[in-house]
Amino acid sequence: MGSFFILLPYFTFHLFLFLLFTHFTSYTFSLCNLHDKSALLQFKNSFSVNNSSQPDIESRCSSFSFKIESWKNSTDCCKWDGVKCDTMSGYVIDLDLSCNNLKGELHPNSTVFQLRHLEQLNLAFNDFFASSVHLVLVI
Amino acid sequence: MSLTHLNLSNTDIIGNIPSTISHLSKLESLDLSSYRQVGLELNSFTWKKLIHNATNLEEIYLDSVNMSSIKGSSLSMFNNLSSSLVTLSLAFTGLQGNLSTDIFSLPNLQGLELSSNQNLGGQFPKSNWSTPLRHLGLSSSAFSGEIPYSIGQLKSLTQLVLSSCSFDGMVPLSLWNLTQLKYLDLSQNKLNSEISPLLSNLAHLTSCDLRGNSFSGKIPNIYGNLTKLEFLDLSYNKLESQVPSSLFHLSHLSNLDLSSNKLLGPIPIEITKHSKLSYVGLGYNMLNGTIPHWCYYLSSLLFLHLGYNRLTGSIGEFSTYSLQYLVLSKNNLHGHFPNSIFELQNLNHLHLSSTNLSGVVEFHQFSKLKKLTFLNLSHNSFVSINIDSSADSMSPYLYSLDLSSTNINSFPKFLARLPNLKTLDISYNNIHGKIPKWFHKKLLNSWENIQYIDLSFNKLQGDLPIPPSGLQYFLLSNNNFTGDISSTFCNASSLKVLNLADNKLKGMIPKCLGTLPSLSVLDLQMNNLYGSMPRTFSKENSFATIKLNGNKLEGPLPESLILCTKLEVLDLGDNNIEDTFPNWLEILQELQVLSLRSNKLHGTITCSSTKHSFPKLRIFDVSNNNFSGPFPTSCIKNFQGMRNLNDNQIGLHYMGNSDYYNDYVVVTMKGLSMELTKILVTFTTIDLSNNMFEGEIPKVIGELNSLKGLNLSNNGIAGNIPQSLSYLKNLEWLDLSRNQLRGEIPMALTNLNFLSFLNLSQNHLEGIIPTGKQFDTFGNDSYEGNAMLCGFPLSKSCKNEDWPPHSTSEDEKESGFGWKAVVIGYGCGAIFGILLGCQVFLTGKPRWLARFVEHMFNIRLKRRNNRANANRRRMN
Repeated sequence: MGSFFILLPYFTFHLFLFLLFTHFTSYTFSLCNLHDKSALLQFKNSFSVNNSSQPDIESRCSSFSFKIESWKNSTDCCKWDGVKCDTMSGYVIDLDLSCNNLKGELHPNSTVFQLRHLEQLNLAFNDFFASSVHLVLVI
Repeated sequence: MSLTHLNLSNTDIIGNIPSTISHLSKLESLDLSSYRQVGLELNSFTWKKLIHNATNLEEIYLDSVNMSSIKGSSLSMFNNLSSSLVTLSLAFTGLQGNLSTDIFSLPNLQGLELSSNQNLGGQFPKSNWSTPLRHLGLSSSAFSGEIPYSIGQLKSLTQLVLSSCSFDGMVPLSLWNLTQLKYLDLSQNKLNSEISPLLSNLAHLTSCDLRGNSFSGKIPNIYGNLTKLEFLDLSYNKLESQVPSSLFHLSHLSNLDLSSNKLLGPIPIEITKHSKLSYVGLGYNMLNGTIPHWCYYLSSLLFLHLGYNRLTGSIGEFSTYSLQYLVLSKNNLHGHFPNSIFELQNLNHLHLSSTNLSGVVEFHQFSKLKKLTFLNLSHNSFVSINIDSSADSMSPYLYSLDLSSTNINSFPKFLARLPNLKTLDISYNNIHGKIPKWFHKKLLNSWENIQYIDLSFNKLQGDLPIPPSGLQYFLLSNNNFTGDISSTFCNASSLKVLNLADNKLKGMIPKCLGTLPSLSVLDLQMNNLYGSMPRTFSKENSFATIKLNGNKLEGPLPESLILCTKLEVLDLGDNNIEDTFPNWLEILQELQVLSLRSNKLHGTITCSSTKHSFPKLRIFDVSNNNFSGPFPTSCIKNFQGMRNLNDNQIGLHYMGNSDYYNDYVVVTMKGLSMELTKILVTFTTIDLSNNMFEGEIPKVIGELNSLKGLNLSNNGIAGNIPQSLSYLKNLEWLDLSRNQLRGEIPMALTNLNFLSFLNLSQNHLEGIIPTGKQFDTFGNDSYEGNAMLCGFPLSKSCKNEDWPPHSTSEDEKESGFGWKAVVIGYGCGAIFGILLGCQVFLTGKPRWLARFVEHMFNIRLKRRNNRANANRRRMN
């Protein structure tokens, strides 16, 4: 029992180091471009994820996921499901949210169009409520 | 933008794709497709700009995007597609016109999908087609003609889908060199010739669909090599061989459909232990032998259709309970009803009609089949179905029940517990008594989906049930229903066929029946209905058949009948209708049968002289009325429907398209009143008998060269028999008796090669009776009552003529079975034979086949009292 109290400061120090390390990896060493990250989070918030999926779409999606649920402000957006970044610049270059049961309108001012370095965009099998393609493809 | 891949497929975005999409010049993959059309459009300007700017495009998926503005010359922009293109998928885009061959020759193209563009056609390259194409899909497009030999150069092809186009001719032999093919679909074309044994080259084939073509000859027994085959459909062709036994050794085959061919011989009895067969369709062939044992134990089997063959033996007991769909109808099976059928827990369709089974079926056993939706036990007259045994809880899903002709003699009580009935057929049984009260209630309150009810040919009494609003077919004929037709019948606004014929119905016909929008057949014949017929027919009505004959209807004919523009059959015979001839009906362009026989119609019969009066009329019967005046030449000369019909060209077709109703009519044929259960399209008669027509027979009648019967008897027709009658080459019976005809019988009438009945009696004819050909077959009674006639077969010989003695005819009369009887029998028999035979061979409808036996009894020969006096002598 006594030895526990002797070692306590030792444990505490290591706990401190551990917390410090994790803090740096999530904030200081984050690859994600902050502008892209905020654009993605705003994009996420403009949709609802419909858990009661439409059966006809579901049958055409080999797997059905809720990738966007994993998107948290506290984590590196380059590690979010469906997101790939350029390993050098940290810009988002690939966004794949197909078969994700997104529901909502896609607006011309949607922040997804602020991802300037995007090379691949896959939003297949979602429900954008008959949004006008004219407004969606603001290129 | 740096975008290289853009996929917005199936996202429900709509509108015109903006031309700014062409700014995506780095685009390699574009997918805006959708599995259903949502309202995306791509115009030719944007399309042109896109393929001009995005020169790196490798994948284009625009399925279901409306590109219909790209047609004609703007299709040529497809020639500018990037040579880097690997995949082009434009199914269901509404593209129109002819594509040039260039698109098929793109050097890197591996996938080309242009299906479901019905107005998009083009030509395949006739040579130099060595491209890396792996998938070629053109189903439901306007591509046509022969598949070129050059297709054999596509060595990488794995999927070839050319279904539902208009390809014809032979399949090029080079196609069987495409050894990489996994998926081959040439279904629904007009391909012919035999299926090449080279098919066995395609060792990777997993799916082969050749259904709905004209492939003939043998099915090569070469399937041993096709070890990967999972799906084979050769149905709806003209294949004539045996079922290849090698098919049953394929361990991956799960779907086998060879139905609707002319396959002969037995079904192979050997099958591999590893068989995965789940769908076996061998119906509508001419297979014989017994049901092979594997049908009873194969645990993968879900669907088994062996119906409409010539299988014999009994149905064995099932030892596997996987079956969901079982059809053994219309075979020569016998033996006991297999009890193990009640153990088939997954069964939802069971068809055992016309199987000659015997024994007792306790109907309550069917309540074990909790998934049953479709049950057909019809036409099993040897099976005794114990319908009274309490069927507590039949499958709640049962929506179709056919117990027609199954010896049922009481109204099935278990029907009350069926919640979802859609079609019910308990016709041709011995069900007697009144319809139970619960049935009336169920009809009106519970069975919301019911569409078809057939209770005909029973002994049902009492009031008619009231049809519910969704009902389409209400068939209650040939019962003993009394009472009247309630006007609440008109609430059934979906009714298509209402057949209440041959009952004892009284009262008036509800006026509103003429306003039902979908009603195409109204058959109320042979009842005791009185009053007038419905007088208001609405515009845009659907009536094709109105049969009100054999009632006590009075009053004039309603002129609103001219609104029935689709009317084909109008039979108002045997009523008390008082009116003049309704020549205003002449504008009905589809009218083929007009029978006004045995009424109180009077006055002259005239038509307008336009060529379009009664253009399709083929049966014209105004006999037994009080018509007078001259011969109705103005009508008869316009009967285009009685000219130039050719049995061979038209084929033996019958009237009516409905599976549920036959147009039938009573005509006087060869002196006998007959009911034609089905009316041949080439059956043409004119009957003006028993009226007061005067004047001469016009020469123009000789132009109706398709006429099979002409009856002018018992009128006041005078003058000579016109020579032109001899032009009626198809004439089978001619009755001019009881008139005022004078002069000689034209010799030319001996040219009527089909004439088997002739009655010229009770006239003032004179001279020598012609001889030769058919005239050698007619007897005395054809000529009697013409004092001036002489020669064979009359006993009065002509002066200066040396006729052979007539002793033979006396001998025959005594024997009771003379040559006359043979001839008459032969003639009538031939007509019956044609009617019956064609019914079997040409309708091709399963329902007809199933009911064949009943129709045999329907061709009823009736001798009507008022017609038969003269004829009885002949028949005796």
